[in-house]
Amino acid sequence: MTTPKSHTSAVQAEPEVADRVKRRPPLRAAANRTPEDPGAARHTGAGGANESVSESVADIVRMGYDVVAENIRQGRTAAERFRQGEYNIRDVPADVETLVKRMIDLARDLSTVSFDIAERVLRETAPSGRHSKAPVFYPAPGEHSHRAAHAAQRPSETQALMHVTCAFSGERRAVLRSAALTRPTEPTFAHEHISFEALQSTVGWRPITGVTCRAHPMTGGLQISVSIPDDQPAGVYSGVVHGPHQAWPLGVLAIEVLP
Amino acid sequence: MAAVWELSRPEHAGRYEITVFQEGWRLGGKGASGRGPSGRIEEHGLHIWLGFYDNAFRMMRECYAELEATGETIFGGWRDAWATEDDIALFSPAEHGGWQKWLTHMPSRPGLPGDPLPAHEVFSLRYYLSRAFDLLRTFLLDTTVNGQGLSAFGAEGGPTEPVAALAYLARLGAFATVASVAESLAMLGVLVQMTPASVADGWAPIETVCARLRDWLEQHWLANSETRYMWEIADIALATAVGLVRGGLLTDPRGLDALEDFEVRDWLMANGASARSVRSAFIRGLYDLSMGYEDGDLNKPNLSAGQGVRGLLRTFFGYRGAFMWRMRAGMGDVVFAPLYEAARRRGVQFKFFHRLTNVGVSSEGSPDFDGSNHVASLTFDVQAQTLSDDEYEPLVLVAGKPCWPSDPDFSQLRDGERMAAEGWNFESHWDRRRAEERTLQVSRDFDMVVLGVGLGAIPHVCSEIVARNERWRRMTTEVKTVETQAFQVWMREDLSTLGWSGPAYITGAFAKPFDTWCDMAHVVPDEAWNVRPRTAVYFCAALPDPPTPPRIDDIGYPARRAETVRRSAEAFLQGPVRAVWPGAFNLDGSFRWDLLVDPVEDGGGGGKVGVERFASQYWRANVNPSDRYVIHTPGSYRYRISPLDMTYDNLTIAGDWTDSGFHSGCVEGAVMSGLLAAHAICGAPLLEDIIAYDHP
Repeated sequence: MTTPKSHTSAVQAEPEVADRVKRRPPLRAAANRTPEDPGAARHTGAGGANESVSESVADIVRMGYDVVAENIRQGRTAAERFRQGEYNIRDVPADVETLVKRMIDLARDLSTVSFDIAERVLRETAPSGRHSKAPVFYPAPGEHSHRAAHAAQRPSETQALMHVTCAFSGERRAVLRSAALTRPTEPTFAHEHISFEALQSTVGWRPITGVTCRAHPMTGGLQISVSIPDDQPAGVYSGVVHGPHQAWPLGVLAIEVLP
Repeated sequence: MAAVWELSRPEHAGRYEITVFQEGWRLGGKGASGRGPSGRIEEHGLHIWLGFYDNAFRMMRECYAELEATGETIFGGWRDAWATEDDIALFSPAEHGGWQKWLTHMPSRPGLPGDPLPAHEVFSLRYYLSRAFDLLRTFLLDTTVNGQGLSAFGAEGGPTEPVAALAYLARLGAFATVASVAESLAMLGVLVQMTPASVADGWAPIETVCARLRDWLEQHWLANSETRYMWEIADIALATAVGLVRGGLLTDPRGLDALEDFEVRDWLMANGASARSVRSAFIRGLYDLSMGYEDGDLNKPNLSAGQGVRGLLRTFFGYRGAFMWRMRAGMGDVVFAPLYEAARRRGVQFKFFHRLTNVGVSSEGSPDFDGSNHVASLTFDVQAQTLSDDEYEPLVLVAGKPCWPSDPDFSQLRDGERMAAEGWNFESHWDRRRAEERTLQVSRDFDMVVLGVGLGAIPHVCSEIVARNERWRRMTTEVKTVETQAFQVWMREDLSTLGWSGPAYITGAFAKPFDTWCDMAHVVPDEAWNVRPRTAVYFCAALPDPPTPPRIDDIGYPARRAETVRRSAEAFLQGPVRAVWPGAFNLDGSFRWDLLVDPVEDGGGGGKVGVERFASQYWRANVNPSDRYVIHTPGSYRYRISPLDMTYDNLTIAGDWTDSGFHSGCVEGAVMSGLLAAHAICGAPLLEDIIAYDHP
């Protein structure tokens, strides 16, 4: 297909060189895979949006809690009556009691997760410097409260960090001391393009050069392999880790070769 | 054609003078179809449009509307051309031999494919996760315990007979807890959708819950053969949910591209899916539909997790109207004939019988280099010329509709009689006979190029680029393609009479080699039989590559490969088909070849008997380099090149093999790529208007 020069008034095309028409670079050259944040999008409306989100989440939780609580209560009652022998177990499916018990456990787990997330939504969306006007939740199991609080205290910086595991080969024992590595900026980076500077010792021992990595099959993070020569002196070794096509390093890998 | 459609829009007010150079006599590439004897439809394979093909449907809806607006009513409306399909059948090998058939009905959803997306509809992994919870909730409520659905026990009152009352109460206990889990899943779905990205790192407990849910489902579904496939789907849904959460994908800027280096079954198993599930009919169907077998070797299934999951999510949670849409006639008739007519009305010119042989480039070091890399010339073999140098008229009327014929109209061609007698095959890569050679020069004859050949043809037509540009070379070696095979039979008895139960399902994961097939009875009325067959059935599959590729002068290669397909098809009809059409066999166990409708007999002649009667049916091996089907293997995404790429300042590319945003060999990927190519040239459409281009 062609576009003869008689039609060079095209929107994007312009004759930069005598007779030849060139394309202009597009505004961007790749898909934007960054997930949308529908939650955040909803919160950017006019004033008062935060309160309405908080209230609606609270409503959901309240309503859900009522349903869950009632159903769990019914399930427990039925299971308890089986246990107490009020029914002849031979007359009903043998696995009913197990089924009920497992379902109760599952329902409890699900409830905990739901409330965990709901509580965090409220905390995140509450207007800065103000207390949420949302009604207080029903009391949740102790474990739930503890977990939610613990999760909320995580530093947000860690979101950009890669999950890192490290394996050592050779006769020497060693441990990973530090590997806080940020994700490369190139969204489609290949793990094999991540490079490791030799791990240096502060006291001048021979550096360790056998460091490689590959994608972790489950987390998509890094699985680092360090090959330690059998005669490597004990001590702490560290080296800078670089990402593909970016000026600043991803972080520092530090290991300790044990005596 | 999508790029042509965009660049010829009336909104551009004729800014672009567009010429389409087409090998042979018909448009469509792998999607081309033709009309053979008795006006029967002859396809390259089996084409079904999925309900999420928004860009493709939008283009065709516009095309049909534009034709109607200009008074052209012969094609009808787009709803006349596509029919909804909600039913799928998948097969699993039965434990004691034979096949077990799983039937699935996908409910219709609001809207129609190609409708503008509602403002609140956002492609996000949180949205999908929420939908997955909804799906699991539905499964839970549909669970049966001792033959009755749990949701049936929610009614007031119960039986009074003592034993029945006991059982009722037992189930009530189970129901109460199942209902609570279902309600929790519903809540979780809503909350996950509402949760800001900054909260997402606190979702680890979901993993634990999913594991518990999987255990429960396994205990109560796996043992029951009737619901086992439901368990397999739930297991895969759970593994996907766990994988999305565990891998931090909900906030990963790479979206599902973060999974592109993994094989989809490995990734699912790493996130808890069982070995049984990844071998299930559901997953095998995914590979079959995408021809995901490297070298066409059925022992080498290979599909990237990123595209596999993206395809699954869009297929199951992104469709509108119906899950699938069947074309009411051949793809050439329903898609490319209206596009051709509408494009011609817009002023687009078509040059048939022009085979591209070389894209000449000017780059650093070449004499005509002007400072930037560009296409300097295009060389074609002019395969044939029309008698009076008029534009070739490619369409014929069959049953009152404009269609593409399966063979060229030699009567319009200079020396056409001789060409027909000598058997010129204008679509064979190996038949290089031509009338003349023609070379177009940049600036004199053209300004911009949209290269729309298949990936397999790139090394042949872009040898200069491949030799000089490492990225293009790697694209041709790392992005894989496979040959495919297909056959069609027309029968005088319908499938119900032959023993098939249920509607005209699209079936997948069936016996090899023809694992995917479909009852196409609905297209027969659009053919032109004197005595209409009761049905037609289409089969297709990947075709294993030969040990060594054919030489460029191996003119007999397509015929030999077609003969291989014919032998496979005959064996298939005599073998695995028995499991699904028992009525197609005689008492002595032989296939009833007389079931096949021979067009010669339809015309009053005498037909063949026995297995020789299969010669009257249709089969083909899609072996031309440009017809090879692109597959998406792990890691290959980084070797795809985008139509937006600026390496050559007057060249863009289009096809399902490019970096189109949806990396699968399908209409939607091709249309998205064409839209990107148009954007590369004129800035329209906006990238944000290409539906799901920015999908995670």
